[in-house]
Amino acid sequence: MRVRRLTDVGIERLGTFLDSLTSAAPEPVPTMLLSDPATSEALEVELHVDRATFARRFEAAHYMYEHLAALRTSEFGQLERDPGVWAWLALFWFDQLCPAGVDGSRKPGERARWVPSFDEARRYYRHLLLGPYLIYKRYADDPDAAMALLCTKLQAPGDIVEQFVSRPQLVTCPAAVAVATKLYHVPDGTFRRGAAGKDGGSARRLADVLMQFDKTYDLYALTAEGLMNLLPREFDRFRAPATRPVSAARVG
Amino acid sequence: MNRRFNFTGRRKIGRADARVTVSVAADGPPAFSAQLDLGDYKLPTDAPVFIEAYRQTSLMRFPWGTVGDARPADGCELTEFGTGEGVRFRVKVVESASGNGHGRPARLLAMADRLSPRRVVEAVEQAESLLAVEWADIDEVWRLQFDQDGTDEPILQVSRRLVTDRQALVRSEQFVSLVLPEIFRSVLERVLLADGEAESDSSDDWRSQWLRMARRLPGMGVPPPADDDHREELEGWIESCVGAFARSFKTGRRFSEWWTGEEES
Repeated sequence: MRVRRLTDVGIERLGTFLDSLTSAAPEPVPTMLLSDPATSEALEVELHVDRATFARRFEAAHYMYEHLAALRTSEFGQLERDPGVWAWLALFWFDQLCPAGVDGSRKPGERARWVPSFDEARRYYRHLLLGPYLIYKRYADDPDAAMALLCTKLQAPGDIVEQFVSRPQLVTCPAAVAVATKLYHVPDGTFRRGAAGKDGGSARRLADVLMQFDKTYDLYALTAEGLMNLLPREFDRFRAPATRPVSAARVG
Repeated sequence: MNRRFNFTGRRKIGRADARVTVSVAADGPPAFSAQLDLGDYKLPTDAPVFIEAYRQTSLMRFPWGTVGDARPADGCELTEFGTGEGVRFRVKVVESASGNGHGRPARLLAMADRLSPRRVVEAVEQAESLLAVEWADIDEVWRLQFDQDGTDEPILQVSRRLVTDRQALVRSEQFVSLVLPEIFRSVLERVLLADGEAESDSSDDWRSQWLRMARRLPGMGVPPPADDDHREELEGWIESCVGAFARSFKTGRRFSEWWTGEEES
């Protein structure tokens, strides 16, 4: 399907639909908004997407990076910050982003997950598609290094994402992101036990420690190895690679 | 009362000494220039300087010579950013390789962070305002936001959907007479009641700048101590400031002129 943008009316209708999901009378997914001229409009560039399914944020981000390449050009770059575009995409993949439970109910969560707030530093990354896309874009040269921020399911980014992406000093620092991946991500796609939570060595603690380092060191000049060597002993248990697959850790 | 502790000796570069301007041309990516005045910070002249431009997950880092010779090494085009809107800057002075004889990572010697640039296209020759005005994707016409990047600096957000000329809006008689006094009140309440800061360790801190403006209003002076024991006095002082502000800006006359068409007698 050709990508469009939701108009103000379309975004408002999307909001009404999302609100209905937590009411006594949930509405069906309003897919008509995607093509109705009253609620959507064509873009200045032709982009196409299909009903691909994505196992993780990583696959979704990669897909968008490939299919929405025009957004990275100077000619159409403004579309990358167009809330209507990302709201349209979120509605297009709604069933995947907000699957119905066994009782048919859906839990859409906050509005920022569906309509991005570019001007709010602590909300923009919560958009379920824009968030992983921006991270993948940042680390497109080596996206595996950012796997800690991309390995979870689309609809449940998880605490590690929240801890890192909410802090621009960390999410933009290749060494910091690579360290998070080295410490917490295991190749079978899960997180190591103990990565979540508030205990010593957890991702939350790592974010706090790195923020302190950011006040002392030129963080961007460090390699991942150099940064790893600075970490206190509380992170020792995560330094060694996992010796056997671990069961899925709940980090959401 | 909030206090800040700096155990590293890192110096804070004042905003007046790190001024960044973003130029938005009709074609091509935005570019920036920076004027740095690092002479008063007692920094080693061979210490490298870097300027980082960032927005959300994007960052570009520009070598900027040394303290003794601060200038860009290459071009300053912000190619990672489709538009210059919302881009912030950070200036870092870093320990030189010769100054670090212990094999440890280079330390920060001085830094200025969360610098909002002047925008040449959208704010040509505009006098600096204490209140930054930005476009926002919001449903209301305007909203006062305290910067979520950590400085809590007040930012006036204007709906890009509802308003075509944000500068015209904030200069309009309606806005000045109806909104500005309340914005002033909100900022003072934030500084004195929420943050509990009557002083700052830097004259460039936005809190100090707003308090200086308040103290200079006719009839005003130094505010009461910013602590719970003086809360009532603080609230009274704030109300007096707002009244003085309204009188200084003649909001009553301005309101009457557009509301009834008659001048206030």
